[in-house]
Amino acid sequence: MITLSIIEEKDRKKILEASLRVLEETGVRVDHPEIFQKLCEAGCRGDEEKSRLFFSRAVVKEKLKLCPPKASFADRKGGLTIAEPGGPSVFWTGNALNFSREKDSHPITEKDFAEFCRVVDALPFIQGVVGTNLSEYPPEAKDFVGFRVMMENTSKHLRPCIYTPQGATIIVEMAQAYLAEIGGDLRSGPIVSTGYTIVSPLHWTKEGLEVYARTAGYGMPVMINSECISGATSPVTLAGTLVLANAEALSGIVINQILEPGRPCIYNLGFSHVMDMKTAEPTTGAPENGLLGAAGAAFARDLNLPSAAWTCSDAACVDSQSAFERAIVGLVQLLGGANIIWGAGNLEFTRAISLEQAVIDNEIFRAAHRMKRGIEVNDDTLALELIQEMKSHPNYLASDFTLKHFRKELASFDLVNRHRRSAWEKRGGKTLEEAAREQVEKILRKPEAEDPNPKGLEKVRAIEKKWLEKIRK
Amino acid sequence: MSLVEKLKALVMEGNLEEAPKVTQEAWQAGANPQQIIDQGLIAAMEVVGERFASGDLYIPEMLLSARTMESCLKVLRPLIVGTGIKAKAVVVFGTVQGDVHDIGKNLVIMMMQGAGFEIHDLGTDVAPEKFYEAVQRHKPDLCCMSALLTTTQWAMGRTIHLLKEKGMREEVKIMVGGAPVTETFSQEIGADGYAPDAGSAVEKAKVLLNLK
Repeated sequence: MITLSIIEEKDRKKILEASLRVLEETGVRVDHPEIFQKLCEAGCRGDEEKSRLFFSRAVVKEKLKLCPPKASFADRKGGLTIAEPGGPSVFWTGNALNFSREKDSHPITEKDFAEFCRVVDALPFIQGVVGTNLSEYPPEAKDFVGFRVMMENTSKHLRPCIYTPQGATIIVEMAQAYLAEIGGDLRSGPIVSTGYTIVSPLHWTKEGLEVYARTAGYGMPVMINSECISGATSPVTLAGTLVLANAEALSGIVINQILEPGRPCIYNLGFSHVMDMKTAEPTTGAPENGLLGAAGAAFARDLNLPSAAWTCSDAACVDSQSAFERAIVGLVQLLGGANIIWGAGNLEFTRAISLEQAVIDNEIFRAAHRMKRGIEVNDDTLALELIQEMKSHPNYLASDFTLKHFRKELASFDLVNRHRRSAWEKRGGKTLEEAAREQVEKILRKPEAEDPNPKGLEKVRAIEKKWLEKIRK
Repeated sequence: MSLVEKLKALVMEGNLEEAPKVTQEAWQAGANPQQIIDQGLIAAMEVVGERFASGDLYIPEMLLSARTMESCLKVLRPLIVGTGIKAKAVVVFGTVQGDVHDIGKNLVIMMMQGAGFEIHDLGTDVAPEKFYEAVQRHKPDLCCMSALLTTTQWAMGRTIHLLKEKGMREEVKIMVGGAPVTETFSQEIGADGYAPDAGSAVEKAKVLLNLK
């Protein structure tokens, strides 16, 4: 397996030292009075008037020791992904506001998101689904309604987008009720995970901390996100952004370990953006996004924690830009060792999702995984005997050796064209986007799969109904 | 080249050192302060704004010009007290209740200041009541609201509703913006205008206020 070294150890140490100084000397704003108090009791120095907390190195070190090095993410078909430093990587989708089709974009509807989940469910190189905006529902309902939509349309690991702390509580209730029907619970079957993002620079809001608090106690993995924007909410230099982002992620880990000692935490600097200095947009497909995500993975390995990142494109529609940006950024993050990489199907600075892009991304990720796997060298793969047998006869194609190894050695794609032009024309002369569209239609024509736990799903729907009625009163 | 023209060039290039000196010189040479502001400062920022909108100028360069303009205004302000010179428009600006994001807001504010607007920045997490108080106190031509989150954008509607209840809705134009905000949403909540990005916000404001 290939791991790309983006940033040398001596530089990582310098950055870590600077981050620890930020935590000790600059501090972090913490808007939650109860959590503020708990942090003071744990040894942090607090300035109550300014809601500012200063984290000593001793506290950071102590709480890091409590963090398990692994986080498990279950799907609903018995599959389990273990995220751990140096371990394999998986791709998830990402949250979004809008649904993109060709050059149209509109706020995501429940139907759009349901179709998106169904398409992603059929794509083998996407392992998790992230919640999105649902435009028909009020903010207080978007998260738990979205969770129900995800449960109905995909069996992959779910990461709902949390809109309110109450939404987080409701989702825990739903997940526990679902799992109780099959004699399980979140600790033994983490079919859902959560997370929240600090407001850079250095500001934990009450809402974010309340989400952490309300989802604590279940062993549910939590992603601690720093989402700096270089040049806007963090220094424009990538090193400076890493100093700030590292400090922010560490503060979030300390907080979560105080709320639930031993809770699996995913250290995430990989959501960081750089500001485009012409348009003021926070980019997601820039080469710097790749560097930051890979660097974050390296820091996580130093801390013995799993890591995350986000690959995306700033293109407004499915086109060459949406492919190349995602491929470059995603590949660097994957080779850099990020364990969970969001972004499948995302467009427009993560503001949109697209069915066709998800299908194309599956191919990109297939290629990226093949690269990550690298070159396997052993006595068998050296093929010395075969070379000696073949001598100067190029008959490798018919050999048993080729039959034995070709599927594993050579990636095979569903959409990528590998025909010469004349054959390509005979087969319809389709662009990648056209081929993706066809595959989307093919997936959506298939009958929907039944949930492995239909009684559990009924419980989820009942809880949704109960809370929607309360909200609408 | 007249001193006012020289000033315009210095603001366009973001020359923080020379521009205030030339402002003082222009005043002492008898240039009308309104002329210095309109033809020296605002005219410079119009060019800067156009170059930024067309992608020929980077934000830090634009902000440098804005800071340069502000440094010239600092020289002029004590000199124009009592002369009746007014800002092109008075604006009240805030990020709505529950939202602490302000990059976009701050960028638009700097661009509006460059256009000669007087801005009262209410900061972030601004409740509808605070917007109302600010509209009462400053009697702005324009009230701008910004939001980054789908959970907070609805506070814009509540603010507009409060202004209606208090009978102040017709006294002020309202413009909204931010990542989750759309043209459709702005119409739904009864705003007068919507700007999709910082680059177009000033132009939109000028149209709303009949300053174009």
